Amino acid sequence: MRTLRGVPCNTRERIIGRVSKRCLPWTGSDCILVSPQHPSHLLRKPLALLTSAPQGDDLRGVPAIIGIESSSLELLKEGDVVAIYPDGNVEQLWLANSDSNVLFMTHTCNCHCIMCPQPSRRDDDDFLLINRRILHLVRKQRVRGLCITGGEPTLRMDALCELIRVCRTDFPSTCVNLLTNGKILRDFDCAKRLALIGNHNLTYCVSLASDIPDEHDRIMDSKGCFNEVVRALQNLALLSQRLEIRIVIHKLNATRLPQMAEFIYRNFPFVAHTAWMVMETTGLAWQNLQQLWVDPSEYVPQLREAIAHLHRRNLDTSIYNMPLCMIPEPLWSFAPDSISDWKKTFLPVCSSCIKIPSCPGVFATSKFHSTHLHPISS
Amino acid sequence: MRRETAQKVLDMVFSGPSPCIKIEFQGGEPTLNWPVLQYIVRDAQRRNKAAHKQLDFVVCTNLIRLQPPMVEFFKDNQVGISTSLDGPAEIHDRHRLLRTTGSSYRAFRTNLDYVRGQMGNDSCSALLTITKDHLGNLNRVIDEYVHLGFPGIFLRSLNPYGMAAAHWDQIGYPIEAFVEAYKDALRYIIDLNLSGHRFEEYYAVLILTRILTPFSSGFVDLQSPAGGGISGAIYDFNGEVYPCDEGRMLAKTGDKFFCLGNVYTDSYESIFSGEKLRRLVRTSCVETLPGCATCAYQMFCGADPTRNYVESHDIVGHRPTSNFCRKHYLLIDHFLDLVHENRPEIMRVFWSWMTGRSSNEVRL
Repeated sequence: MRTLRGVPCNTRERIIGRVSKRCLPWTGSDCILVSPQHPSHLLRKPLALLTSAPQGDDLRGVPAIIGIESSSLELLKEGDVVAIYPDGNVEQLWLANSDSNVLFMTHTCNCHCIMCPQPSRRDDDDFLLINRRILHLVRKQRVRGLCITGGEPTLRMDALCELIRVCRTDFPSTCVNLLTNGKILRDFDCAKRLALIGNHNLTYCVSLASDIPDEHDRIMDSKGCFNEVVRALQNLALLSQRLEIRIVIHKLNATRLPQMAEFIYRNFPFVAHTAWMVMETTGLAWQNLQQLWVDPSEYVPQLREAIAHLHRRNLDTSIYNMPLCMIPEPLWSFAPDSISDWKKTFLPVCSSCIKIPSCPGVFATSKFHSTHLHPISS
Repeated sequence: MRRETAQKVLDMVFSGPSPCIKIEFQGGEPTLNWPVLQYIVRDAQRRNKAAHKQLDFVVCTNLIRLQPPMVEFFKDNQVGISTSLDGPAEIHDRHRLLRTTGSSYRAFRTNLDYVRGQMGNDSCSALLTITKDHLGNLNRVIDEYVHLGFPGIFLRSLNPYGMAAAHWDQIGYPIEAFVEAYKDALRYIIDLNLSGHRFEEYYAVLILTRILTPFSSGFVDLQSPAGGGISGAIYDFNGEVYPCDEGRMLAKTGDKFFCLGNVYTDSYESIFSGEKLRRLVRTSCVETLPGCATCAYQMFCGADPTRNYVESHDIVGHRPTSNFCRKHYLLIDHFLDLVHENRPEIMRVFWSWMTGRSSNEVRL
């Protein structure tokens, strides 16, 4: 998510708190005061202060980041959760009034997918601690949905179970999407552990790269991964868990979308949803772009056939991350607002488009976009 | 069936391992034995308080003698109603004669309206028996079903059992004639759907589900091994147990070959894991039957040992002369042609049937 920068004062350790524009006695002890100017007098001492004011006098020992550009400071809204660091960085961890907040479980992964937007690395943090703190800070907000991801979240099974349990207790009506490659859940007992938590708003979003085992293994760079994901899907179905299959489309699988649709229907007719996803061109996907890039306009016919195939068979399906100008109009109803709001953007070419309000947009994080993007004028 | 027999039958039914029990009352006319029918429904429900199975009831009735208290009982106990309708009045009356004078169709219509008024429009399903009379007239029969608001029709060829076998010369027909009539009728039904009236043909749904989906159709009469005795059983009024109704009918004409035992004298184990049923199951797997074992349509088809026995005096049967084989072969052939042709509007109708939606919902 977004990172802001300023000059640290009195900041000796990471502080995670909830953004508030006014520090009032009833705002609670977790508030990080955001104020363009120095607040004249504080009724209650905040956890920390974020300000655009250049001078750091009269802070009375309150940890602060000062001199933050006022345009970035305005991006912080009441109820957001931020972490501030001794080096002057401010990291936005949670957006209030967003349905696409993400809880990271780990940076590590047991696959090394050729198109991964977030290459794995070693963990330098206790993610459970951070996530519990975030959920604690936002427990009174109305949260419609959130996403648990990584890395591969199932590599931290104890922490994951704990988090899903917290979600069930403190956010009983929040839809939780768990992104996984399914490798660990090939083990029935592992799948059962998650299922037994009884979070009925939990959806397992399982990656499928191909309907051909060797291709899937090659794309995920993990031998045997295909068999494991099939086993995982069957385990979870047996446990009556809600399942989604996610397919990131690139040159290596783009020609087989209809075949994948039929494969899913024949073998996993129990899945609640299938998502066809335009690739985010960052991370490894950017590094391997030569090998992976196919302009989405080239696979639209196959995508259309795959969508029609599943729709006809009464399986719910969607296109993610594809702007409306690339999608044939009859398929627009299959393209929800799928990009997290903090990642979603429009390009200069979009400026005259009348469909922006209903368009999923493109990834702000992508380093390369289709050359076929164009404004829709009628 | 006497009450005492009914009790024994329920003992047998509830000693099975299946989590789902569907009790279907057939006859004769089952409502003529009203006290025992009531007893079975109530006693099965009482037993089910301990057994916790999914329990359903269906009564197969001509509707003619249905009284308001009976309908109330069916409504209160969620007993489904399955009835017979052979077409417009003149055909229905020709097939289904009242023991008194008068029109059986009229009595049927009056009571159908009454039952629907009490229990809802989808409370009754109807089955069609096709004789020589209709074969050139199926469109009129379909119109009648549509007119009466039925959601679909099952176009079945006449089976050579019981009364039908006795009158075969007057009402029977070669199977090829049926297949041709079926194709025309299916086209007529598809056009009906394309013009906006959703109406299913159930045999088509059955075969297409097998060809195009990963699901089984759950249709006992066309499975492998045959469904008789393992997916359902018939309890005759005297307590005799048969794998299927055709086996029971055969017994009525003097041949008790298919009788698996009697609830008075035999145990559940000896009836349902006895050598007779084992042999029926063993000898009704299409993978091993001569003619079926090498047939390309094996995975869409099934076996019917009773029919084989009637046609060739052997439960294995003789495929080259089997009408059962001929019929399904020709029809599966036809459906594969249609699938191969892959006309978008027709496939849309088929998928709307298979997924229980309107064809507009299937459209993209």
